[in-house]
Amino acid sequence: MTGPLPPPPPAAPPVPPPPPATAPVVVVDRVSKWFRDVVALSDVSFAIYPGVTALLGPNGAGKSTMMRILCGLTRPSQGAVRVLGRNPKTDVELSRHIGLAPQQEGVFEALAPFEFVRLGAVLHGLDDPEGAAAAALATVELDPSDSRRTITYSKGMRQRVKLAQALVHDPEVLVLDEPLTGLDPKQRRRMIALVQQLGDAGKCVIISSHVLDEVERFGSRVLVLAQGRLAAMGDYHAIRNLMDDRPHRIRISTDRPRAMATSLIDAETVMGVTLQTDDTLLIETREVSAFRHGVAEVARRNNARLYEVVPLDDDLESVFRYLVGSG
Amino acid sequence: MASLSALLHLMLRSNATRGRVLGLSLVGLVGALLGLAVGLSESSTTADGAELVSVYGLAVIVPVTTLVFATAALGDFREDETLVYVWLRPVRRTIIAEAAVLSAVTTALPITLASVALTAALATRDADVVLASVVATAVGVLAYSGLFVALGLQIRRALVAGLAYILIWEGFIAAVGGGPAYLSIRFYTRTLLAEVSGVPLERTGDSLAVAVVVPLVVAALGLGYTTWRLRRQDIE
Repeated sequence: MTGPLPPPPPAAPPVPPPPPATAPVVVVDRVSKWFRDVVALSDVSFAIYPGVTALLGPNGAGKSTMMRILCGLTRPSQGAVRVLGRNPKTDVELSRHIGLAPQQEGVFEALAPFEFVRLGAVLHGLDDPEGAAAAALATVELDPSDSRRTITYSKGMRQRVKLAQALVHDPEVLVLDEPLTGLDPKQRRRMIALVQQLGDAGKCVIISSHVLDEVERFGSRVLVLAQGRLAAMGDYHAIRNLMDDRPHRIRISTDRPRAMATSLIDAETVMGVTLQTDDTLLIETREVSAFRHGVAEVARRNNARLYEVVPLDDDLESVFRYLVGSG
Repeated sequence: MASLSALLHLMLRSNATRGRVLGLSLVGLVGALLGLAVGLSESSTTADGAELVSVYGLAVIVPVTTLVFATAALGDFREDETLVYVWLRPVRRTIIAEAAVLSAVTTALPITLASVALTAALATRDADVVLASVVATAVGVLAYSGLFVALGLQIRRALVAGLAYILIWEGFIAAVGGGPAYLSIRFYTRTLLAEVSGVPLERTGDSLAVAVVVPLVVAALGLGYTTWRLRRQDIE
């Protein structure tokens, strides 16, 4: 009557990136990071090239820790990181080539945005800090002459101020931690366009996100981090396919569960069927779309009523869990 | 030089808030009122006035005022996670540490100098005591600035830890005298007050040079430690 659910699949093999056309800007070699007993990153290795690269993963996956390591804000507990061939933790001069828009909201609240961004320009020793600050603010569509302090700014405006201070010295490497947080749809579109433009101009732009569709819009290469491990890497489409190929669980409520189970177990798209309660089936399939199209026909043939068809694994957390092979 | 100036400006704007300046000026004003009371008392002597300068001016006004501004200099940035905007720039860590100590001195010195000098003037009407108060205050502010800037970067509740040091260590343990006194900045500022004014005070050292050099060494060590921490510490 019921098909046994197959054991969890092994960890998905990483999708190899396309052959690099240029030298890597960032090389991460077997990096681990732990805080006391908590492992934030475990044996992570990858290389990042010019263009836009996204670090994708759920909250707590280790994205921000990795970005902090790339900027030298914290040391890896093990392994090595090189940015433009240099150690970001010890090489102060490397910060001339790195711009960071961190995840945290805090900015210097006593300063106006122009003062904040100009401060960055002065600390970088730019010849014309005022001009650079004005240009950076204009890039993110903020008014350089606005004398209001940043404490009065909305979250979205602060996000843009953070990006402006990261851009002010025209760095080769831009690290943007969750850059779309707090932006309204219009601002998001503009931010995405700006990031794409920077990537097209040959900058190495590294963004983090926990939203898969967001990453798609950046048109970027993707590194998937889950539970501190590199779960997959490749272009967006390869990752998307990998995620779609995993087994999906779907719950069906019907008035004729046994008849439905008998028919469904024979369907090519179904890997397993479990009778959960008197009117509920748990289906496992690798082809969600085909299953959804076919289930109505199976119900019609069996003269069964479908009360609900609920996908159980559509949340990103389950995708990431699958990718690291934890079932 | 441009970096130091920009950082100093930032720290002054961020940390010398109206509330802090007004609150600490009130603490100083209490000293002046106490000085006025002592000065008006017919039975009080110059030594009594100098003692007031020591136990309130140098033991409370100077360390507490400096503590507030010095722990905030880098500590506030660390707390609100904005230190990264200073740290991830091609600026030598020594410059950041120097700017922090300078900002603490710049904000604490006017308040403490005015308060302690006024207290001394009202309590003693003695120019030597006023001069000695100014010298002891300036040296004390410098030493406490170096110490408390480092503390603000090192730990989260630096204000509490600093107050514990001032009240428990300097106020009770080191105030008794003996070996612990030498590990107290207050001991050296009190010695300076006595040595420069010529007014004999109990529980002081007997070397003016040592009373000047040790606080300066403390300031330098604090500066050095802050620089070292900025190189080593994780930045949020």
